[in-house]
Amino acid sequence: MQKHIMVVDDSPTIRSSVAFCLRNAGYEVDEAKDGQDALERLDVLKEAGTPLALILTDINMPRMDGLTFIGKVKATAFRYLPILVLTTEGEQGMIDRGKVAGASGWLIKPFHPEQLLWAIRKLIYTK
Amino acid sequence: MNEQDETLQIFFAETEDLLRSAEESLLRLEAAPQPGSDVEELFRAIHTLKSGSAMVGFPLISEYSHVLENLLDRMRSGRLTITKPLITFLLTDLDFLRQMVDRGGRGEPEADPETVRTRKAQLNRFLGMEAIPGEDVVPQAAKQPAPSPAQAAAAPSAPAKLSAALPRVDADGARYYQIDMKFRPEIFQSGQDPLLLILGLSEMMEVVDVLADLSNLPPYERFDPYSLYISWRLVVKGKAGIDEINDVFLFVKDDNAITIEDVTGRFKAGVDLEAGERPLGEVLLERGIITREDLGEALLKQKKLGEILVEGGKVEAGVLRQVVTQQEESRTTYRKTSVRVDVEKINHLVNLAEEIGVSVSRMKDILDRSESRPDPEMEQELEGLLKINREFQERVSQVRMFPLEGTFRRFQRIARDTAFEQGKRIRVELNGVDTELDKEVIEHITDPLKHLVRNSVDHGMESPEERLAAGKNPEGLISFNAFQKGGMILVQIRDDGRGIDMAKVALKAAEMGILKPGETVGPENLLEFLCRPGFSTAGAVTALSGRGVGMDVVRTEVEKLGGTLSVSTVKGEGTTFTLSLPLTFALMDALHVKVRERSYLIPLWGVVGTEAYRPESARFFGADGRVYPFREEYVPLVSLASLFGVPGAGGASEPGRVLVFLDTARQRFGLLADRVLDPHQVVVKSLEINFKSVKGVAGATIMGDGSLSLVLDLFALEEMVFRQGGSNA
Repeated sequence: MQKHIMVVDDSPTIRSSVAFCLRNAGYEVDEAKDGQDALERLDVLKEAGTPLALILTDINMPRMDGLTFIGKVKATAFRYLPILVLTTEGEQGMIDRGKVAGASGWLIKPFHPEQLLWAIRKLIYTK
Repeated sequence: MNEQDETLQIFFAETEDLLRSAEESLLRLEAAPQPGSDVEELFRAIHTLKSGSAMVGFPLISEYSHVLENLLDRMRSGRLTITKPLITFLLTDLDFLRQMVDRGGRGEPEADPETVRTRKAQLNRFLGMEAIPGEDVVPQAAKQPAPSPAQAAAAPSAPAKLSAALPRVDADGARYYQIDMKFRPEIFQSGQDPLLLILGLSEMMEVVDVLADLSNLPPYERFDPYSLYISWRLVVKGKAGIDEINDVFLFVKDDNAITIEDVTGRFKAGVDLEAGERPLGEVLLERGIITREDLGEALLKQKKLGEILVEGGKVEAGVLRQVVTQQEESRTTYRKTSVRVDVEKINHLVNLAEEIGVSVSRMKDILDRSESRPDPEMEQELEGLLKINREFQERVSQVRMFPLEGTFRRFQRIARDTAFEQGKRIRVELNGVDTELDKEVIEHITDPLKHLVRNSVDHGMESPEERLAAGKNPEGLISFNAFQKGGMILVQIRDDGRGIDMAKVALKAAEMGILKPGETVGPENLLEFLCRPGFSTAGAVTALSGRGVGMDVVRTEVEKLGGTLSVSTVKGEGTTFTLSLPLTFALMDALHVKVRERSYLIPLWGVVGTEAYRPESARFFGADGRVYPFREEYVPLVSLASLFGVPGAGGASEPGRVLVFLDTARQRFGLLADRVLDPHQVVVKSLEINFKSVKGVAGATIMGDGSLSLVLDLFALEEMVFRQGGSNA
C-alpha cells in the first residue's frame, strides 16, 4: 500500500512541487494550505481510517502557523507521527523552536527532490 | 502539459496573488506607517515568493526576494523606520520582481546582473551604514544545481563548514567507525525511529558489528512501549567520511548522545568488539602496552570492592562477610552439580568395572565347581556382589551416554545446506533426540550418518518442480529418528523422495559386472549392491555426496560397532536407512550355551525364549530345511553344531537338547544347543581384528573358568540361516 504524506504549506508552488516529487517517488499526497486546514484534514483521515506516514509542514502560514499546528498534532492520536518542518535559510531559530514543538526533522527551502526524499527516509520506512 | 509545467503555472498564478497582496499591504502602510499586520503580510508574501521562486528554478528572483526579506524583517521588528520614500521604493521593487517573473516566464534571463546590483545598492542606502548580510547568504540549491542531499537540511547550522567538509573518499580503502548511540527515552515522541537511522547507516556502510545495551530494560510491569530503553554501539566499515555519517544523525544528534569515532587505526587488523567486554588489564596486556608483571603489581594494589565499601562506611564488615559466604556457598553448590571429566578417565573406570565383573564371575564358577558344599553365607554375599557389580557397570557405562540431539542438529544443518546448494526445498524433522548412545558409538557413526544424510538430499530428494509434477508437496521431508528397540538403538534417516530405482541399480550392477546372470535386484539384496565399493546410483558424482565415504564404508563402520545397516525403499515414496546399534559396545549380557564342550555366548537382547527340544515337533520344510513351532508360528531351526562344524555332535533326533529362540527385530529363528547355562556379562574386545573372518562370530571372551567362549553375531547368524534356507540342521 502506498504511504500517505501530508504537505502543509500556504504556497501553492511549494505544495505543488513537493507533491509532484512525492508522487513521483510513489507516495500518496494530501495537501493542506495552513495549520487549520491541516487539522481538519487530519480529522477526515482519522474518520476514513487512512494511516498517515508523515507530515511536512511550513512554519510561516496564515490562520495557523506551523509551530502551533505541530503543538496541536501532538495532542491528537497522531502524536507519534514524524513531522518534517520546511524552513527557509536564515531561520536557524525556527529549527530549534520546531524541535521544541515536537518536530522530527527539518528541510531548508529551496530543496532538491533527492534532498526531500533523503530527509523522509530518515523518518519513515521505505520499500 | 506535464506536471512540472503545471507547477510553473501554479507558481506564476501564486506570484501574481502574492505581489498583489504585497502591493495592497504597502498601500495600507502608506496610510498608516507602523509595524503590524500589514508588515507581517508583506513579509510573508516576499518570504513565500523567495522559496517558491527557488523551488521552480528562478535563483535571481529568490536572491533578490531574500535581500528584500531582510529589509522587511527590520521593518517588522521596528529597527527600520517606515517612511514614504521607503514605501515608494518598495513599490518599485514589487514592479521589478514582477518584471523578473514575466521575463522568466518567457524563458528569458530574469534580469541582467548589473540591474540587480544597482537595486541592491539602493536598498542598502535605506539601511544606513549597515550592510545587508543577506548578500553573502544565497540559497545553496539555487547556486549549485546538484548539492549533496544533506546540504539542504544541514545548511542552517553551518552552511559554509558543511560544503567545505564534504566527505572526501579515501582512495586507499575503507575506514572503521565506532558509533555509540544513546537516545533519549522519549525519542519516539518526536516521531523519530532509531532503527531507521541504523538502516540508513547500513545502506552506506557495512555494519561490522552491533552491540545492543539492554541493561536499562525495566521489568515488564514498568515497561512503557512508547519509551526507548536500548542503546547501541555499532562498528561500521566503509568509504564514507565522518561528515557523511554525521548527516545520518542530523535530526537526532543535538538532543541525543551520539558519538562517532574513527577507529580505523585501532581496528585495522579486524574488529575487536569483545575488547569492551574483557578486563582492561587483559586488553592492555594483549596489545603489548603493559607487561604481565605490571599487571600483577597493579592488581595487588587494587582494593577489593568490599574493602572500599567497608572503609567508606557503606557496609558493615559483618554484613559483608555474610554476603561473601553466601556467594561462596552458591558457587560450591554449582560446582557440585556438574563436573567435566576427561573421557579417558571414564573409559578406565568402565574397564575396571568390567574386570571386576569377570573376577566375580570366576569366583562364582570356582565355588560351583568345588567338591565341598559352599557356605550359604558366602554364596549369598557373592550373589549380592554380582548384583552390585552389575549395577555399578551399568552406571559407569551411563556416564558415557549422550543424547543424540547434538548429532542430529548437525545433520539438520548439513541437510539444509545441501538442499540449499541444489535448489531443493526440504523440511527436517527430528524425533527421539533424547535417545542416548555411548559417546564412542556416536563418534563412530557420525561420519557414516553424515554420508547418509547427504545421500538422502542429494540422490533421494527431487527438485521442487519434479515433486510438484509428481503431485507431492514441493517441500521434501527428511526425518531423523532414534529409538530403542530391544537392546539396540535404531537410528533412521528417512526421506520422502523418489525412492531407489531398482532397475537403475540393476543396470549399474550389470555394467560393473557384479550382477550375476539371471539375478535381479530387490529389497532383499539391494544393500549388497549399494555397498559395493564405487557404486553410486546417481549418473554424476556430485561434490557433496559422491565424495570420500561410500556406502561400503558406512556399512563397515556400523558393523564394526556390532550394529547393522538396512535399507527400505518404495519408488516414488522415499527411502529409509536404518542403523541398528548396540547401546554400548563394551559390555554385553549374553546367554551361555554349550555344544559338546564348546562355549558360545548369545547376546541376550536377541533371546526371546528357551525350551527343551522335542524332535517330534520339528517339521521338515523343503529338501532339508526344518521349522519349529514357536508362539503360534513356525520359525526356521538351525543347529549350532552344524553351523560351526562341531565334531562329534549328535544328530537332530538326539534328545535332551535345548532350543534358544532368537529375534533380531527382523527375523525370528531357533538355535539348537546341548545345554543352556546362566546368563553372563561379557566384555567383547578387539572383535573385528581376530574374528572378522569367522562368519557368525562377533568376538571372543574369557569365561569365569578361564576357558574361551565365542560371542555370536546374531545378524550374521540370521543371514546364514535365511540365505541358506535353514538347511544346516
